[in-house]
Amino acid sequence: MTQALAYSVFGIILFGIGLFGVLAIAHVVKKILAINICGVGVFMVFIANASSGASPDFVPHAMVLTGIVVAVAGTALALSLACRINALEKLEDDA
Amino acid sequence: MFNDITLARNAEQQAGLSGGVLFVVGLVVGLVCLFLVFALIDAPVAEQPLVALVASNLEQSGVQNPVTAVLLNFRSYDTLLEVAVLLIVALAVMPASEKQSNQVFVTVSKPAQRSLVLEAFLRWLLPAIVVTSGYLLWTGAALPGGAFQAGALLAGAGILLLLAGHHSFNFNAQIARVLLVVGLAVFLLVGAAVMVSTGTALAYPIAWAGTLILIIEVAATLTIAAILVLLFCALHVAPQQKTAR
Repeated sequence: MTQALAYSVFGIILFGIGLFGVLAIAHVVKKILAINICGVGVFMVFIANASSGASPDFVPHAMVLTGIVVAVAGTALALSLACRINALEKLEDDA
Repeated sequence: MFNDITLARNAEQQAGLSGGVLFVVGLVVGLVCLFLVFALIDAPVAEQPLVALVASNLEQSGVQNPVTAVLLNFRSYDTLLEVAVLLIVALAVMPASEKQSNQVFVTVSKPAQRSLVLEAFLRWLLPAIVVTSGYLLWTGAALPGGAFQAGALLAGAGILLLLAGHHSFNFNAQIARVLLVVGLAVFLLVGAAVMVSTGTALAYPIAWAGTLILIIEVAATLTIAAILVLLFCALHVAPQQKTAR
């Protein structure tokens, strides 16, 4: 088992943990965290595969770099939606 | 405030999934992972033609760092769209109000509670962070670094300012709005302007590539920093205060 393959397999396991979280947990914030864990797993597989050659492949590195920023933005959007849902539910409960 | 969400009605929903369902979900996820692992082992070793392609064209890109070359020259389309995604998210979470748009961007006030540690920290770290961010931006041409790293560092400086409590940002101010769009605007302008000389959008002329990439990176750094701080601000407001307005 090469090093790159080991990292890839652990990336897939991380993805699996995240996927289980998304499917099994009802709590919104934990779901968002689970999606993030999924994303980290995908990034890990990407980078591990990029390093399997003699010199690292730069294209996946650049992709993951942009991916991280987009993941942060997506998480922020999801969290603000979660806050909004929570606020609306409170209003409903009060009414 | 996320504790608040925890205490909402989610508790009863969480109890909804029975052990059997959880077991099935776990089984399916495990099978998916197993399939992915076998697919990975089975996949033929890629030739990686892109490594050689990037290396052989590096001289045309105007920078020496291959990752920066990929990000801002060979695949600059991706980066352009990414800055657009950031702007869309910023617009989605931005507290929209016309009233505040003529107020100043940064207001200084007396904090409700002073944190001496944070303030001392800030005095030492803020100049260092700004300088390091500038260095990362500049060094991105030859070494690992660039707009994203520099922008993230600058955003860290902004969040530190916010946490210390003296400063608050008003993202409806004119300057803030300019900061939020300047990255995308400059990127689009440069991309369109090079069409005049090369005929293709975002295909920089070789002699100008380094300068153009630097211009785009400076603008992108400002925008990324501003948007990350905005995201922090938007999530920092407690939901109760949001509905009260």
